[in-house]
Amino acid sequence: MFDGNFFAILGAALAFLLAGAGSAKGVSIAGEAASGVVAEDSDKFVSVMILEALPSTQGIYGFVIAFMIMAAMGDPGTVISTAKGLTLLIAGLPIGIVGLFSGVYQGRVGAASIGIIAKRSSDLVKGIILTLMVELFAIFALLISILMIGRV
Amino acid sequence: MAIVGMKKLTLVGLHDDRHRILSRLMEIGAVDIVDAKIDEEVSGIFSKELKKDDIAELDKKLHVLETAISVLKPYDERKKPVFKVRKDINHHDYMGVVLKRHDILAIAREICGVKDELDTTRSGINRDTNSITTLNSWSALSIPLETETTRNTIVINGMLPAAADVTSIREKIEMEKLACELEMTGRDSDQSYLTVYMHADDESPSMLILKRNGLAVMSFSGYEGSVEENIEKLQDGISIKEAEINAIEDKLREMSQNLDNIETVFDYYSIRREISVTEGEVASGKRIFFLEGWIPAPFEEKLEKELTEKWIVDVFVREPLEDEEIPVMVQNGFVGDSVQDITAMYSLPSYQSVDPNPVMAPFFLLFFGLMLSDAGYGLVMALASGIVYFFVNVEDTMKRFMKMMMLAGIATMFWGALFGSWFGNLIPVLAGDLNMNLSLWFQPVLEPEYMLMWSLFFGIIHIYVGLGLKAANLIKQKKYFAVLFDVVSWYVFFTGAIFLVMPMVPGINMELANILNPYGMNILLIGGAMLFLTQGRKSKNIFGKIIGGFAALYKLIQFMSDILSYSRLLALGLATSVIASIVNEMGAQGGFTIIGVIVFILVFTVGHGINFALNSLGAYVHSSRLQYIEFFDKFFEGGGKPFRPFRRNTKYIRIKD
Repeated sequence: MFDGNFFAILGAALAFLLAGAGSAKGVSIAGEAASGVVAEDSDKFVSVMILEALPSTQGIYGFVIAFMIMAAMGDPGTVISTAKGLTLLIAGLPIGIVGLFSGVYQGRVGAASIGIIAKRSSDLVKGIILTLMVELFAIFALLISILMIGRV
Repeated sequence: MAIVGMKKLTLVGLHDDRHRILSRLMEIGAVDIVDAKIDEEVSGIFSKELKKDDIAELDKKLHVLETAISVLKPYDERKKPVFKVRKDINHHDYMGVVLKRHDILAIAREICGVKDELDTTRSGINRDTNSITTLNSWSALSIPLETETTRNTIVINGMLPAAADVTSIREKIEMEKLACELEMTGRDSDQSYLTVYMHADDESPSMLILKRNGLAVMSFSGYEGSVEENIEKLQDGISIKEAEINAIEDKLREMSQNLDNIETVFDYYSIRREISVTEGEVASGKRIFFLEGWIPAPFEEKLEKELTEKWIVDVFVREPLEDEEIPVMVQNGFVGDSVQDITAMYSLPSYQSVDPNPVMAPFFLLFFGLMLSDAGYGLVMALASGIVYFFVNVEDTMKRFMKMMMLAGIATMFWGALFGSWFGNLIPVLAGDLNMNLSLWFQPVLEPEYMLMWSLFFGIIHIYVGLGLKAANLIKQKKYFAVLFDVVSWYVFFTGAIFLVMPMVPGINMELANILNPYGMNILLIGGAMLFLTQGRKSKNIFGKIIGGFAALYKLIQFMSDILSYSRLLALGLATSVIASIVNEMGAQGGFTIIGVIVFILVFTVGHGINFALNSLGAYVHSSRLQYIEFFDKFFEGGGKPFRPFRRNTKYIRIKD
């Protein structure tokens, strides 16, 4: 039962599970802060929504990698070698694990940046930049995962 | 055009013309009036007076009008435009409304009164509803609410916490042989509701026991009759108040037809306030006055001609001095203009630097396109924003935004076509041949490493252009040697580093890399030596010079990480196209049947809608980020003070002459 397909599917699952969970947590942290600001001043909805949406990218990246791993397994029905399956599993880990942590932490920076908007809505750009700093690592993780899948 | 040249204007005129001249300057809206500087020799003649009382009076009126507007807004039943835009009004109509301003102000005051009435009634309903909730807990109370004492008996009502055990309290009272009776009239999850009958002589010992167990006395002062009667009375009261509210709201709905006039009068008073404030910046003497301000060089002649023809005035215009803070106005062509708000969100360029907008615009748009990289999405975006840009009446800022979106949409189409992505792989899926290749260049999904190399290459170009702009800044400031030290040596240094790492980049043309690689070390060393010798030149002592030189070398690491940061061009682009393909393939699973087609259309609209929304937002913020952090970092001198001409800063209307 522990054939290559099993490991590859496990890799796809982990890539999305971890990164998606990170994004869900991150967006919810930022979202709670955003709702607080909107409750005070509904004109700030668009600004805080942008900041709230930023940590959702990790989930997207995990989704992309999960899909690419499944595509790398070839047509349905083919059984890949255990070695190939394990490699695909490992290739899914960077975006999974980095996505989990960066999603949560990006959500926290996002929530703090929403605090900036609450005080001065003109400083949206600064908030976005601060929040995007965390994003870079998720992007690197996505890239590494993509390049690893390409090497299988 | 870039940053518009400014000139300092001094205008001397007759006191009697002051108000008319200021009004005209406001209509023209080309002069940024500053606080006039009164030299010591003329300080006896000229003085400035800010009419604080007048301004406070105007502020009061503005406050009334603004409150009235915010009250009426929800009752205005006219259809509102999607894009907020100030109403155009011709001068004649405007003057008509202004003549009626006192009546309109009275209406606004009345509206504020109605609003207070509405608030009072609403809080009355709240109070009554709360009272009903309280009374409902006492619904089993059999005695009239006003009962407090008979001849020898004291009656009180009160609540005990739910945790208090009534039986044990009763036992305690019995033990002390007190004439006190507890009647439970109800309980809920928080509290028990009690009526206590006590003999007057036993009041204090009984109360002691009860209070110890947490009795909170409930007073029904002001109530008369039974609980039901009171609830009924309150409910009647609520329905009367609700009817009142309906009547008030009807009245407000009717009054909302005054909204346009109130808004116009609001703007009239805010214009007057602006003039009053500006009059405080003008130096006035007995017969004459003078004002100072900045004027963009292209307007200078026209303004001077008009003013000298109409009034007895003297106009002096001079070049700005070195130590003056000169306001910044940027003006660019069709493409350069579109991104000026993105730059302004970061900071306005300083007057002494070059305007980055025309150079930044193509990079911003192409990077945006590269990260969205789908011709279908680009087409939709360009069409939608193009329609708004050309055919819908919107404010200038929104118009520029739409222009930017339209151009970004075209850039997205450009890359999408190169990569063969039209709504992901929609056409191959529909044609049933997933291996179909529509790309004019190559498919990044199949060759991510090749795309990574190109992303990094675009990054190098971007950063090199940024360094070039630094040279332009230095040339504008006439620091020619600095161009050699602070720009050329970096070029040499970075180029050496790039040659050196070239063979390590995936997807690169190895032949070229192998030719260039051997030169890398030498070029790097030459550049490094140039930097080491020159970067510390500003420090005075020898240690400072050496540390300055080393610190500069450390920047190489920052340069490398800047370049890597451009890998997001690949990552975001891939994310878009992979998700788009998943949407298509999921939608197509129903096959070519009626249900299949319906499912396909649903999945297509929702899936691509979400993908487009998330990824266009991503492309926008990431493309901005690449400008702010990687690009501006190399040359940008911000902190420019915006050019704020004295003009009609209206909120609701635009007056057409």
